[in-house]
Amino acid sequence: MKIFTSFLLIAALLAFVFSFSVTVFADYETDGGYEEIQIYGSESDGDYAKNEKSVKIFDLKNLLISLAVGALIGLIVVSVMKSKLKSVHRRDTASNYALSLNSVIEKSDDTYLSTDTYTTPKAKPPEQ
Amino acid sequence: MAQLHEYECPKCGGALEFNSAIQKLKCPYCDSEYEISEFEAVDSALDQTENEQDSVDHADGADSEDSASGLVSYVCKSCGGEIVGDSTLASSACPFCGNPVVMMGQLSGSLKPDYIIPFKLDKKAAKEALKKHLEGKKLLPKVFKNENHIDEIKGLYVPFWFFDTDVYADIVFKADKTSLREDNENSYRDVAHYSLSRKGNMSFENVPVDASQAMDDALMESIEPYDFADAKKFSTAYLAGYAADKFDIESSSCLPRAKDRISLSVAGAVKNSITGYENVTLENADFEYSDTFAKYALCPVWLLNTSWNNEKFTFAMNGQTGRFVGNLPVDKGALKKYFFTVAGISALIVYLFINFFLG
Repeated sequence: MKIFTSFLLIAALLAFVFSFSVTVFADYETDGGYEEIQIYGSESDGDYAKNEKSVKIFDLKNLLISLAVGALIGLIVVSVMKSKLKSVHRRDTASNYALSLNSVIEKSDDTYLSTDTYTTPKAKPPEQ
Repeated sequence: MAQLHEYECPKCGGALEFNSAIQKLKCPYCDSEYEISEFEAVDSALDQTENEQDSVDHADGADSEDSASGLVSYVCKSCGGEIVGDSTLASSACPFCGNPVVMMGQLSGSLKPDYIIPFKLDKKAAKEALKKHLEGKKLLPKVFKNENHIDEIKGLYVPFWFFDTDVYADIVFKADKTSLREDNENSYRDVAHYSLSRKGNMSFENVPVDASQAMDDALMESIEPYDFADAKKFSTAYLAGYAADKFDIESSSCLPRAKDRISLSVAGAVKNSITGYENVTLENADFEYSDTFAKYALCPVWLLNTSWNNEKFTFAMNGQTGRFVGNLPVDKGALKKYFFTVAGISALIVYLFINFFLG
């Protein structure tokens, strides 16, 4: 758990630093077969930006989501690897020693108790 | 009655040992082989009453019991060396001459096991199983794997109670049935609630419970199952060359553990038989046990002990089936390395996916 927490802390710190330090605007207007990419500061001209498609390389929200998912996957993988080192467990059941497993039931009684109804209104078609 | 018994080779006088490969007693000196049945006469003395056994407990070969420490000492008939063991020790080897000895007093009267499941696998198989057990474990410290030296390998007959019983179960479950309907304005989901009563019988045979306080219960349950079809009528000859303990937990104390496992099995089997319902949950369960019968048997276990970083690790192998278990240490450095590598790569892939495919 310590590793998991430290990973998230480091990741959050990195995300915080990078998300505010770099913003890239890419100019997609091609000229002579190449793409011109210009990097501006955050005070870029509003009019110019209208013609640009801006791509924020370090998006804080996406980065945090990715890091959280990555940490979760990492935790699952190492947990599986760690569980392979543990092979001593108490047994919950005695199914290995059961005879006549297929003819267990002698008497069945199903009693109806009540019904709950959940209603969902249908979406009405738009009026013409 | 002599307290200690050594199985001596009729031809050369050497100490005989039970050989798991040929399921016979074999002399390691002249290679003579003997059927177990040839030594039945030795065991005839075991059927005497417990009182008689008590009266000879410390006579002849046996020698003294320190009631404070719970240790019992015996004198080896071959070399005169002192063999010291705890009060449950039923079979061992002389620490001076190495001859296998059986403490007959520990196995007579009511202490005599009904059955024994003989060893089928030898020490070599246990070592191989350990090697295999250590393979493919990425978080296992390399030093532990490469420099692993087993401190002790011991073939031990562990006392078990095997329970036969019939169970009458009366179980009530709660369950739902869902149906969908609709009219012009709404969709309806009807969830009908039911109480399901199920009654029935189930029989169980040879449910094992470890009857030794010294043995780790989880370790013993982990190497199950034993195939009781291979169980033989008890004879001390099977013990020659192996250690053995007598039971020190009564069957009445072991029965609740067997019942816990049995009741969960029955409830699970009954629940699995229910079809056509959703959200089946157990509401109430009553179990009545009848024809409960306990058999006392000795079961073969290879125990391997090793230590690493001042920590003791015990491995156990079922001496009949070869099932091998034992917890292993974790390499914390490797754990961090794998975690950061997997987490980092996964995070990168997820980030690229979100930005370039979903963004």
